[in-house]
Order: sequence, then C-alpha cells, then structure tokens
Amino acid sequence: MKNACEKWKDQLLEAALTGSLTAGLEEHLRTCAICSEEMNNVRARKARLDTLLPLVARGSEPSADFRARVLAAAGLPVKENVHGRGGCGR
Amino acid sequence: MPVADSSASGTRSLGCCSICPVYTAARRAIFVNERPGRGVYTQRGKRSVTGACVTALIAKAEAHDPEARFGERIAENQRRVFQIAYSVLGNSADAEDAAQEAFLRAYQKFASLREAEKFRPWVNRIVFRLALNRQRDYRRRLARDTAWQVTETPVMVDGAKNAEQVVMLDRLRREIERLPEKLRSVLQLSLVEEMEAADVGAVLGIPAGTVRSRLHAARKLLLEVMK
Repeated sequence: MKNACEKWKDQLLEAALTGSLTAGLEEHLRTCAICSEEMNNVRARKARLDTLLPLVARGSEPSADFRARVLAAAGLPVKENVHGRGGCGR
Repeated sequence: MPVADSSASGTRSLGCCSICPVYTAARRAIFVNERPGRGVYTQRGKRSVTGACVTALIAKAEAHDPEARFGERIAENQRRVFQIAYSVLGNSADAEDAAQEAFLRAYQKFASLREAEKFRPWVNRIVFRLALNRQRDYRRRLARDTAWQVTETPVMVDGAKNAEQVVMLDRLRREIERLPEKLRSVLQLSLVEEMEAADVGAVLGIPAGTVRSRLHAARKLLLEVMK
C-alpha cells in the first residue's frame, strides 16, 4: 500500500467488517489498483477470521459424564435426568 | 417412554413415564386444580393439560427436591459454562475442571437462590472469573518454570480440523491474548454459543451496546493483525 493510501486503511477494514463501502472509498477503489487488491486481501482475511473465531470457543464439548461427575463431587446422588430432553430414559 | 395423561383425552404428552414423581404430581394436580386460568380446563367434558400447567407443576415438584433441581441446572447450563471456560483456556481438560469448579461453587449457595432464572448469569460469571484466574496462574507458573528458555507461551488447541487450521487457530489465540483486556473479555464471551450481547454484558457489568462496540473493535484489530 502506498503512503498516500494509508488514510484508506481504516476504511478498508470497516468495509470488510460491515460489508458496505463509503462513497469516497468506492471512488478511490475504482482508480487505485493497490487499494483494490488490498480490499480483496482484507475480505479474504475476514472470511478466514469468520471461520476460525467460532472454533475458539466451540471446538469442543464437555464429556458425556460431566453432570454425573459434578454431582458426585458435590456429594449428591447421581440420578437419571428425569426432566431432560431424553425424558425418563426408561 | 413418554406417555400422555390417560385422564386427559387429546392432551399433550407429559414427557415422562407413569412412575415418574413429576408425572404423578401432575396427575394429582389435574384433579385438585381443575379450572380455567390455572393450567387445567374442561373441554367438552374432558380434562386437558396446558404447557403452562406442566411447567408450573414441574417447578413445584422440584422445589421439594433441591438435589434434583441442581442436577437439572447442570444439564441446562453445562454446555455454555464449559464453552465459556474453553474460550479463555483453550483446551478441554482445563475447561472441564473450571466448569466443574464453577458448578461446585454455585452449589454451595444454590439453596439460597430464590429465582431460578438468575442461575444462568450467576454461573456464567463464576466460570468466567475462575477461568481467568486459572489462566493467570498458568502463565505465572510457565514464566517461572521456563524463565531460562526463549520461547513463546505454548497454546494447546482443540477443535481444529487440519494442520493448517491448527497453526492458524494457534496464531489467532495468541493474537486474542494480545488484545486489550476489555476487548478480549468481550470477544471471548461473545464467541460462546447462546451468549447474546446482554448475556455478555451481564457477566462483565457493561451495557449490551458497549459489548457490541467492543466486539467490533476487537474484530477490527484481529483483522488488521491476522495477515
């Protein structure tokens, strides 16, 4: 990115995040091949970020016996989950 | 096996079998509580049970059995509580330990919790604080044990699908670690399923609007550095 284009850097990021271009940026992208390419790069990074970010928290699940272990650690009897999604489980 | 109340022709399933204590309580209540507006009504001479009635009866039955009630709260909240810990700690084993500790702490004061709906934000706050404390302890230990090495903090990564994703996810976690704390906390909590801006705000004590603006700022910073 040229020094003269530095001022568009923030708007490129905003445009990638919000999905909308300001009139000024749109006009600049028509005439500046470097910023136009940078816009594509930022959009690609945004797509990669959208794929990766959910994995930060959702990559795993608690183990199947988690509830039973917590109840046991609390000194409580481990019963069947009679009101859970699975009904009585009988 | 789910069965419908036999005394209530054309009614919904109660979701439990006939020897379940909740089912028994519901059946009994149908006979003592038979009027409109209280969940039971008469339709063409036949009894019927509304969803509201069943919910109220279950709540009533559980009130007499705090142990069963706590087991229910675990089942309802465990996935989200685990994911909050996971978003901070980055691996399943530590996340599960933190989640378990959060529930055990919650259990100590569970009997004094009068409003069931407050359990969710309460346990969210507990597990988030516990996870942050564990992370700080881990960093401190690591800094002490590896002071003689020139190395970056290793980050364990679960959940990635391939080698490239493992590398990228590891790098993303490091960049998240470098975010200013206010932005990092909002981002970590917002990434958990079922956590809306209001839920995140309740954990951090900030308005939902502030959560949204900090989340935007966090994503923008990550977009800039993840080249």
